Amino acid sequence: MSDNFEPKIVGFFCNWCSYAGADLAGTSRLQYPANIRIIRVPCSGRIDPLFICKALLKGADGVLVAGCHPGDCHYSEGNYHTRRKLSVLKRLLEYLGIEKERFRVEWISASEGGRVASVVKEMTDEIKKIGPNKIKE
Amino acid sequence: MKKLREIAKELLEKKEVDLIIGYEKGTEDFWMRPCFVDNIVDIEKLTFNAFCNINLSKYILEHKDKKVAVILKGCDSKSIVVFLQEKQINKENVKIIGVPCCGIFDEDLIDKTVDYNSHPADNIKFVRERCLVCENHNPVIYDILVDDKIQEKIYKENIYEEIEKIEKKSQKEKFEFFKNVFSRCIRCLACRNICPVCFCKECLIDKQNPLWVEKKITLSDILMLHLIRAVHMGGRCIDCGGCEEFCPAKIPLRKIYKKMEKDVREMFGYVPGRNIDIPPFHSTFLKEDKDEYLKGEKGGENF
Repeated sequence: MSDNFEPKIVGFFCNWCSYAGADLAGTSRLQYPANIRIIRVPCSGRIDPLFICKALLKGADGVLVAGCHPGDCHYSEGNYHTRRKLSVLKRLLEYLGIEKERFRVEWISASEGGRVASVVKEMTDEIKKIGPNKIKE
Repeated sequence: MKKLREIAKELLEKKEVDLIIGYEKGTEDFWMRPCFVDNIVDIEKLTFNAFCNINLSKYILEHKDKKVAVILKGCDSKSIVVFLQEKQINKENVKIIGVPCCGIFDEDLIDKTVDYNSHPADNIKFVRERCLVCENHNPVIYDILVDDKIQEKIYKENIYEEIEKIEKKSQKEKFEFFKNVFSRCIRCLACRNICPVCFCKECLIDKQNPLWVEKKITLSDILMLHLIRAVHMGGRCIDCGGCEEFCPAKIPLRKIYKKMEKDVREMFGYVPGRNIDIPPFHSTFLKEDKDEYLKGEKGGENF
């Protein structure tokens, strides 16, 4: 495992809460690692569990999904559906032998710029320790 | 099987159905194949014994324009519940002839000592693995029953024993196990074709735009195919055993789908294929659903 390993983390951020939170981190000049590549989706409920599977199988070292807090979804119910779908997926991925640090779900609101920075930093550090994704071929 | 043929004859004579889907003897004594009867003369072909392993419920979807009667065991009748929950069939056009079943013999486990007409409960060593964890010997939905209901008894004490064995392995061992197992996959898609709840007209696996599953034979493409199936089965698979039984590479697919069933049951209390009146698992939610499963706090190391 070389010390120069820089993980590639894919982030799915919901437009109304988490993406605004990431914007706030930017305007407040908070530093967080550039290992994350953020994709904006209208709601975390838009996220098909297969997006996460495809990202991990194509070589992403980690996937972070961020949505509004339960009860605060801009579309009222989207994040409740996310919770159901992704709870089952999380258990399935760990059963198949993919490390649990590689897939993470967080509820981040638009005012939590500091949390965006700390969650991304934490995840990058953890994945640096466990090494690159072995599935990509 | 006299009673079965009498029931079938009555249904055809009174014109309550146009077609009866059942089992008939195949080229060998341990091969039973599906049989489609639409006249009185062919009724003599219909029979049932402990080798009738195929789930006939999927054939109903090909005959939606007719009135059909179908012969179903306990496990197969659960797929009708899933069809009704997801509004795939009109119940008025389907008559279910239920057969209480206490096990089906596995073609690979039998030897010369087997008696082809014997009772599976007396010969557990020949019975297929799926039947050892069966929770529904009697059909859960039926119009006519061929025999009296039998007592429900699960042969294995812990129905998730095989799953727990894999859960206890370390993360590296789990990955090696599944990597070895899936490298045998030849992408024949028999598992998808036999599965009763896999009835999409345009399957994601075949779709070109966007391309989910590519044409290479690498681990990432094979795993993507099986993950698509697993994610779509979560909360819908009724464990009929067809996928594992007909896989030419003998991949233990039930170990994945049974794990999804275990999780959905533990986390949300939902068991597929039992109750027509409740909505399907993925179409609803409860505000009280817990976050702890999502954050990985529950369960610790061994999920």
